[in-house]
Amino acid sequence: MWILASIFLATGTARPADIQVTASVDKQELTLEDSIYFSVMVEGTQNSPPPELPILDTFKIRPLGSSSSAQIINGDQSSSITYNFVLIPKETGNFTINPVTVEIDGSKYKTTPITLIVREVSAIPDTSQEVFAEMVVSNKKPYVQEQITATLRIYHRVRIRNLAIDTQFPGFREQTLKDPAQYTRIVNGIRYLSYEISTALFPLRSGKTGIPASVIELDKVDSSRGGHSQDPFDPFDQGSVFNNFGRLQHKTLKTKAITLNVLPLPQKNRPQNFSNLVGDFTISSELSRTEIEVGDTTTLTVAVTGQGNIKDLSLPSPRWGNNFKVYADQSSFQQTGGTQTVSGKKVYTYALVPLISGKLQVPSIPLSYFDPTKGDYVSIQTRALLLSILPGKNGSKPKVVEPGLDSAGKTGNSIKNTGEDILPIHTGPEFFENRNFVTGSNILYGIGLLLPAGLFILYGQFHKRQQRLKYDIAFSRSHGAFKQAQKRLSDLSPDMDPKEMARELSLIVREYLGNILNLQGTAITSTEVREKLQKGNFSMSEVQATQELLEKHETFQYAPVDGSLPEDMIQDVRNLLNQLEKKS
Amino acid sequence: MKTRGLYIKSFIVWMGILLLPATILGQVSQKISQANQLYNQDRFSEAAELYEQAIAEGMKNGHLHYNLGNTYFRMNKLPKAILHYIKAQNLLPRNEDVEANLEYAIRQTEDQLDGRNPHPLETILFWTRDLNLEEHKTGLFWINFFFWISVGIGLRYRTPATQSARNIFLAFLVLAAVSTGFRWHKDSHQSVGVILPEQIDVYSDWNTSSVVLFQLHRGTPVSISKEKGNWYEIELLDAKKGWALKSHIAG
Repeated sequence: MWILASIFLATGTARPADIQVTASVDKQELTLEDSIYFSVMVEGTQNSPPPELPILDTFKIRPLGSSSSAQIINGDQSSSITYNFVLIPKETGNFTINPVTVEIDGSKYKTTPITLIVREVSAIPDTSQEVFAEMVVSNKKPYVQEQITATLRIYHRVRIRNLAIDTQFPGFREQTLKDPAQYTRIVNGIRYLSYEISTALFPLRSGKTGIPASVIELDKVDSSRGGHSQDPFDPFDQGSVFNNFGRLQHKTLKTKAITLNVLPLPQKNRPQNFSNLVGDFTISSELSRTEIEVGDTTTLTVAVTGQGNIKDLSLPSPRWGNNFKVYADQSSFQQTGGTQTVSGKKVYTYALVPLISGKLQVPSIPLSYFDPTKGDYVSIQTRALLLSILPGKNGSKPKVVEPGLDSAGKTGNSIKNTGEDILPIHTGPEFFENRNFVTGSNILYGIGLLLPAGLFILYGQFHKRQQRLKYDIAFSRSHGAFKQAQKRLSDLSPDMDPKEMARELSLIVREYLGNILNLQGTAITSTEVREKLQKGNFSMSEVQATQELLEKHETFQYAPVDGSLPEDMIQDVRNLLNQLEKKS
Repeated sequence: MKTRGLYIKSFIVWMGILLLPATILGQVSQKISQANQLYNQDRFSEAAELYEQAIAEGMKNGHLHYNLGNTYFRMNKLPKAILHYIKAQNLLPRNEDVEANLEYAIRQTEDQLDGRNPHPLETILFWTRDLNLEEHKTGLFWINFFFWISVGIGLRYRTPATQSARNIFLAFLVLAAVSTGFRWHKDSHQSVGVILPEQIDVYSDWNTSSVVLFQLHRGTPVSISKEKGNWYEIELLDAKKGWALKSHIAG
């Protein structure tokens, strides 16, 4: 039943006759389990902004999107856009949906108010009971920390969609059990599908503790409107694309609140090492190796298995004594429970490093828990394990980390260094030899880094020179020319015959020139020398001086002379060679 | 005679320069030895004072920070203990005692969280975690030395073997230079702090009127990524970020 609620006039001036805004609901009387469809239709345009809804504190609003339409009938064009919402009541009473405002082109359009009546569920009994929900708990008188199971069952005879469940368990620690499951159950002779979610609960304190009502929101598929089967058991219909043809009807279900009387754990017979473990457990231990040397490591694995709050187990630190150095690893937990109980295995590993040789006993590890079925405490312990410790080789220091490999070479449990107390300070003098104490070592370090590169550059130059001397004849000749000439000048004896001396000096100069100019032989004339020097890097005065000196030597060799060679002639040669060497 | 006197004076000055650090080191070592004795006599506050003095005098030694961490732990100064264990770990990255005590100390905190956020490059340069800066520098020094030797030999004997050796050393040199640079950057730029008060609020911005994102407790190590006024931006291992007052963090 769709009720036309109102038609509005524009408060603005822009084409008031063309635009109409209406608000409508599918029903005006409902229960807390129901919901209503609320629509705002804007006629005369398809470009309307979303409507501004009034404040509706007593309803939860879910937008369902918008739909638009356009029609041309006998040449008259009409268009509209409809915004849809679902309103879910939060409380009972008479309520008014105040005018909805739509602003188009600066003009505001308002709907008229709509009144609604929301009643208690019992006021309009749902005789058909197509959908209902209940919460059941496995034990209403649990002990503190005893695991109970709360199961939420949603019974339905019609198809349901868009399930949203709000359950709260204040005063309990929750632990999810297996994934939700669906069963077939008969209630009062009627067959239902039951969607069930189980949660393990552990009461945190004793006394009266309540589980508040859970709120379940869902959409019933009303296939009578869609013309399809409504049988949720129909195997051909489940999950088919045709489901979408049915009209969705929103429904809100509430379970009854449950009160539990949580019993305290008895003080009587409470063991000293009891650490709030409640359930039924066993404990076992094993060593990775039972025969090792002093300083070697063996891994002790302690496993606690059972049903209850095993995840909370905190195994008290065993009394290891002074024979071992012990490193505890972080514990691991593996849940193995079913649909109704939490059970699992918690494993603790310790790296044991024996400090002395001989037969050592690994102490048994005690565990106490409260067994709710017996109503009493139970104390169990691992069996004591024996270790044969051989003397270490070379008095080896204890290894502080388990190698992480078993005898087969496979990776085992990794033991981290988590000792039960801090390890002692380092006192040996070798620990405090500070090689980096000298300040400014960064400069030395930088020099040290650059030095090899510098040495390499020097070596490179040297190598290049050596190679040139080896393969470049001209370079090789000019390289040693000056030294050679100097040596020969020094070797000249003052007692030599003047002509011989002049010949020798001429030869020295010619050889020198031949070397620096890479000329073959020494039989070069002064004219050739002039030509060659002029082609080189020598000035005219140097060329002139060289030529004159060579001519002077020739004159002395062949002209008749009396007495000795002028003393400055050797010096002239020295000066000329120095002069030429600078340029070469 | 004058020249001879000058030589003698120069020799004395140079010997002084060379022996001065050794003399100072001797004094500091004596101080540490004394602090160790005080520690073993349960005179922790006196031991801590001497260790702190040794650090203030320029002693950069992981074992010293480790001992000081132990001393603060015994004095129930958990944040300071954790801070010095972290400093010790930085200098002695492979030392098992340091690692064990740091883990144990962190387990004594309420958060039981090592919030230090590793640098993203650490995943690639994973070996840089296991070597301290000095070791990196030493490695770089020797690889650099051998690289230039290989280049020199390659110049003298141009064979495929010498060329391959040079290329291998070059690859190692680049790797060592990158590692050392990264480690240096990490040591000098990546700050670590430890929460001092019993509980602090970590804000979304650097003022107390911003949203409290989460809370941390005494002794939790965190990475400090930024600094603004009296505030540090801290980063946790799971990429959580927030601002906390500087006075609440020892670093």
